[in-house]
Amino acid sequence: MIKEGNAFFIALGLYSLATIAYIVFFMLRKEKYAKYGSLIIKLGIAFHTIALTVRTVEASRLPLSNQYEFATSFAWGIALCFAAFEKKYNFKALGTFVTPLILLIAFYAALQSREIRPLMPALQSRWIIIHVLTAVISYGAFAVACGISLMYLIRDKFKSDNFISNHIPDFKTLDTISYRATAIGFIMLTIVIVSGAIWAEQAWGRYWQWDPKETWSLITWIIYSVYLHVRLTRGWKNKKAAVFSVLGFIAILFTYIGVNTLLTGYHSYAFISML
Amino acid sequence: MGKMLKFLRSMKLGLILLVIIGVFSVIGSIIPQGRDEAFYLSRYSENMSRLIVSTKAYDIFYSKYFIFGCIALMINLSLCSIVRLNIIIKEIRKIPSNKSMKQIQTEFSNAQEIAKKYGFNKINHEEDGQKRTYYYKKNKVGYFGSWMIHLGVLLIICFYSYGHYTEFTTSVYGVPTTSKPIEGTELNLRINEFDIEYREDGSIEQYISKVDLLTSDNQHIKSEKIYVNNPMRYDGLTFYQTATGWASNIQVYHNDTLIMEDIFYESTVMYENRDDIVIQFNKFYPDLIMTPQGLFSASNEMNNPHVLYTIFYNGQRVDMNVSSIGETIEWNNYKFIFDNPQMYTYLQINEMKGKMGALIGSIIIVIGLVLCFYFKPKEILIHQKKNKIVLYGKNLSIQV
Repeated sequence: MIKEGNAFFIALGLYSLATIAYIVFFMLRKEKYAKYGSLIIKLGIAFHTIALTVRTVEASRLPLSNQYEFATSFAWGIALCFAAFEKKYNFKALGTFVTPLILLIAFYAALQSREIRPLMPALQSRWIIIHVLTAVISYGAFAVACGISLMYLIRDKFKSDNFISNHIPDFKTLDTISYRATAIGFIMLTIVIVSGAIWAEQAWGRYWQWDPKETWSLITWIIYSVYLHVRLTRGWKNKKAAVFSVLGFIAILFTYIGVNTLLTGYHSYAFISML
Repeated sequence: MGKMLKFLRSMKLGLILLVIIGVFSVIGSIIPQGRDEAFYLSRYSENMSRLIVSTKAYDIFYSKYFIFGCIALMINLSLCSIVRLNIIIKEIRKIPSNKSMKQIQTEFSNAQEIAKKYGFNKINHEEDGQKRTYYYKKNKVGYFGSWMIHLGVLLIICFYSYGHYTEFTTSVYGVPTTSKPIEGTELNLRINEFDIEYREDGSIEQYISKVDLLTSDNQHIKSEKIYVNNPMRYDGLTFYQTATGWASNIQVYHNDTLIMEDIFYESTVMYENRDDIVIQFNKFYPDLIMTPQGLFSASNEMNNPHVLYTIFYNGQRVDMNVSSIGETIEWNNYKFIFDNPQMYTYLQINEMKGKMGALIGSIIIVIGLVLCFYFKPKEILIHQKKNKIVLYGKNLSIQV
């Protein structure tokens, strides 16, 4: 049987190749590279799925419990959301903007310890599955929305470029797809926060205690809720919405990576005296 | 007054307040909350620590500014929800008007056929002479989407505030077979057993306290196993497995006479008032190893159990050392003996009202979001005069 580490590093290699293919497609403006990219990313997802499955079998639980496991699942979530959106809307240029995000998170995962450790008591809850799985989908959808918004901004910057006009959909389509991805991400983020609160109530005695991770989830929720309000009522569509979407994803990255590395709280699981 | 009310319920104010709450949250996540003044003085520059202390940024989520922001948001959401409910009900009842709809080109000449094409299996119609008007509204429940989200947020803020300001918290800790009163209640808790389950690799699988809940006159109420993620609940109180540590029996002799015998918990002190002597139980090492870097425990097994203690006399530290279990520690005419070390369990008990209300608020938000994004109200309006058809629609898409 293939080892989890091997499958993960093959997936990482394939994601790197796919990113290169999509960037070459964009630079050389030859569509065949986008086709290679699309094929390679699907292969990458297949190996990544194998890696996650093997880890699930070896650990006898879903791989959602530490920095490596969440990062690898997060990268897989973005890749899966990307593949779904690429299939549904069929525009190849999306890969140029989303695959670097997949690579970023997958590399972050590669830097973490891959040791399989049994769950500490605080993490032994069925809520971990719904809490972390919805986080994976939410962050994945927001990453896709961010990629599409970057496309919007590039298209806006190079309006007269024929290649960009031909390979990046029109502004209305980009705006709509970004909005749809954000809608999925926002619903999932809400479920992440609610399920986290229910779990916190069972484990720590309070459903909300302003832990930095909780607080940053709320900040991200506020950013996206302001975005949705101004989009619906003030007509902040198009470029402003695209900028907002990119900012929202920066908040997501900070919530995930920044809070874990720069701030301490219950989610750091670094405390000793408490359980 | 009218203008003021309009501003108070406006979305603009709601968004400003959300942004303010967001900014406060950023500050509160960067500055560690709830520490003492010395912590900020040691961590930040003098000016910064003074600013943190003077603005109470160390307790930002319970500061008057933050609370004021939340109250203002509650008022904004309440007014907005009341006014919008009326508007939504009117909107649902209203016959669609072409003023708020887009005209759509169609090749069909039959109103029912057009309606079906756009997914409207039912359609209402009115006649005015030769002119016929067909109309229908679908996904009317979608009108409630954003209203429900606002209501949910309002409920969460209300119930969280209520819960926070009526919160009752206490704790009970002890070694097995001890019974302790629960402060602030008419209850006692008897700790029957406390187990730490280890895995083969030495990591901890679970901390389990087996307890009996008793009335103040020791009548049995219930028995339960409390472990992490499995609290015991009774009459609004929730009992959590929160922490653990070591305890030991201690015997204190003065001139060879036993003057004190008690359970001594790690990190606590014991006073002997007669001579102003204090003994501190600093730390317990079940498997002591001494290295140049300091004292460590090689495992959780009782292979070489030792206690690190300190003795103070008249406020001055006069002795600090490690002692094996059962060894006699002598100081002047006092003798101290640590014995029978065992782990104690620490259970936090709290009562936070309004949990169910906050949960209902959360569920309402999720339902509202689904309605908002995936049940967009659709409207169709068809004017037919003889063979001439004019079609208007809102959020329409052709059903394939």
